[in-house]
Amino acid sequence: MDKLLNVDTDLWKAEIAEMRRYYNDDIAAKGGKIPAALYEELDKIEARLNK
Amino acid sequence: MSLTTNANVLKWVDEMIALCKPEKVVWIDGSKEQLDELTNEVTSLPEGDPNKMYWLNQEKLPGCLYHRTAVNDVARVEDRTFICTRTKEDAGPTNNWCDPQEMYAKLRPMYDGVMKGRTMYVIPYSMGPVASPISKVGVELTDSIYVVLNMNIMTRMGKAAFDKLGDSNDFVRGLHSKADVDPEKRYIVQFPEDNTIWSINSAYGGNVILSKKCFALRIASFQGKNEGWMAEHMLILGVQKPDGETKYICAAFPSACGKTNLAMLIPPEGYLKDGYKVFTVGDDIAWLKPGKDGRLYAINPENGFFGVAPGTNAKSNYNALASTMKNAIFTNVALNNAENTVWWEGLDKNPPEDATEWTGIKTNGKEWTSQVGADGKNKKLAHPNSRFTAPAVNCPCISPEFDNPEGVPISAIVFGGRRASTTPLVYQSFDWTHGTYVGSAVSSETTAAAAGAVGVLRHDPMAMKPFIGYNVGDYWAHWLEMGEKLGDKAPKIFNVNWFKQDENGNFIWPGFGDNMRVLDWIIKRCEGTVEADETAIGYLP
Repeated sequence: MDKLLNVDTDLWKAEIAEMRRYYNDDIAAKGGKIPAALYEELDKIEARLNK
Repeated sequence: MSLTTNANVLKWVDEMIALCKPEKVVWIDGSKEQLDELTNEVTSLPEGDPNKMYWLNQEKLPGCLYHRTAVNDVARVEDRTFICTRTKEDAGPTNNWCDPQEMYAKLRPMYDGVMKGRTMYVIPYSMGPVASPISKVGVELTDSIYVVLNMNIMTRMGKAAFDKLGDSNDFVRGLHSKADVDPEKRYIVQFPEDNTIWSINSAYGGNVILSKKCFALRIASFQGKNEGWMAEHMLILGVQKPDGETKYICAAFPSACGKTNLAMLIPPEGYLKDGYKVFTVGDDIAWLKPGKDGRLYAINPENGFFGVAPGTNAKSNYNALASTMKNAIFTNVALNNAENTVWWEGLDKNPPEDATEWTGIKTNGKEWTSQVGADGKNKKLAHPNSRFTAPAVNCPCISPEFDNPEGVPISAIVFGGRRASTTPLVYQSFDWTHGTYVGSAVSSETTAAAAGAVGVLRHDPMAMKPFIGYNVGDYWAHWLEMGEKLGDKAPKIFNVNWFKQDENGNFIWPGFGDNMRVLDWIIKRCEGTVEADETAIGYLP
């Protein structure tokens, strides 16, 4: 269960970095108009991971 | 002969007849007599005719038919699928785009006279129970009896759809021709502002059963954005608790992540003994709309299951297998010639010795499957994307609310993907906005469901990447708007991952029936009767 429910901070920081890349390179750069609120969620998760 | 006096329908059908020039036009009324006639026709075609369908063993599989498609026509083709909104910006980065007038100009010559010597079938159908305010009507024109027979299972097909439509212009126009089944000239095109779908040079599955991905997801998501509802790539299941109340959950997973298995889950012994039951409302697509009480209600717009056959067996999905036992169509599976029944990899451990493989080769199945093919893997008798088309009514656990015009109220929305690491078994989002972010972050490995590479991690927001009928950024904005509209009546949003692996690459979680334990936690979180740990990424058990 521990392995299944574990939140690995390093892996999740990489996940957030990948999501920023996805948003910026795959979506926004190619004409996807991403709502500001979703960028804010990324920031919030990152802040929580850094606490 | 026509089944309607609707001037909009008649005008459009006349235009398409003038374009395609069929020898004959048959309006599909949905009657048993007409279906029997068409089935006789398609099963009487000579051996070698690519349109031929075969009766299977009518004692073991009553009413069941078998069909093989062309070997280069076995899956949806995303690189030949287009969203032709008026502006490229409106199609956005997840879609192939072409200017609609340019596309019509390219396609019209291909359709010109394409049905010479053929019959055009005019198929009226309802997506969703005919009486439901959430339902919509479509009309598909096709030169394929295989399409008519599949539409009969997958939709509420027939005259009743025209009765519901009345004089309205609010119907989705679908034009399909097999043409020459030429893969170089294969196009599946949605024109959202015209409520229109054009498909040509395929005779397979989601490319030609226009009700499914083309209408129920691509066109419908566009309609939903404009009309205040949502069309999503989601199963709908109901969990009846021991107290008799049923809670409904929608779940969006990319292809090959077990939607059909979850939709038809059989709870483990302990849960059954306690009085839990699971009911299936749908396994692929949900249309969601706020109801009178402000909650989000879902219907399954389809009337059957178009499921992947390989891997389906009595243990992995008893209910899906049971649904295929009568009045079903099997496409590109293998045949057990001795019994004239079907076989596929994973059905059991006994490939038939007297077999017909999916391209029509007669072979000793036992030997065939023990040989290694050009790709370095064991040869297969059934195509990996081979399908069953099964009536929903056959499903032993079909929900009593399946035909409820109001739909079912949704307590939880669950996202999931196939991730070997990082993502825990389950977590709850903090709120709808965070949940929308979680949906945008869904990622999984690709499959045979759309032609392409296998095993590459790809982003699949809300499991809708191939199906969003407009700009993905606007689609996310629409999700946020819907959340604001629903307020505190909104479903709670969760994320699951059945596929986490240990250091040796083995799955840690058993999955299948055990997923009931996760559904249990999810429902209890919705009811506020179980605690959770707050972590950086969400609430965990």
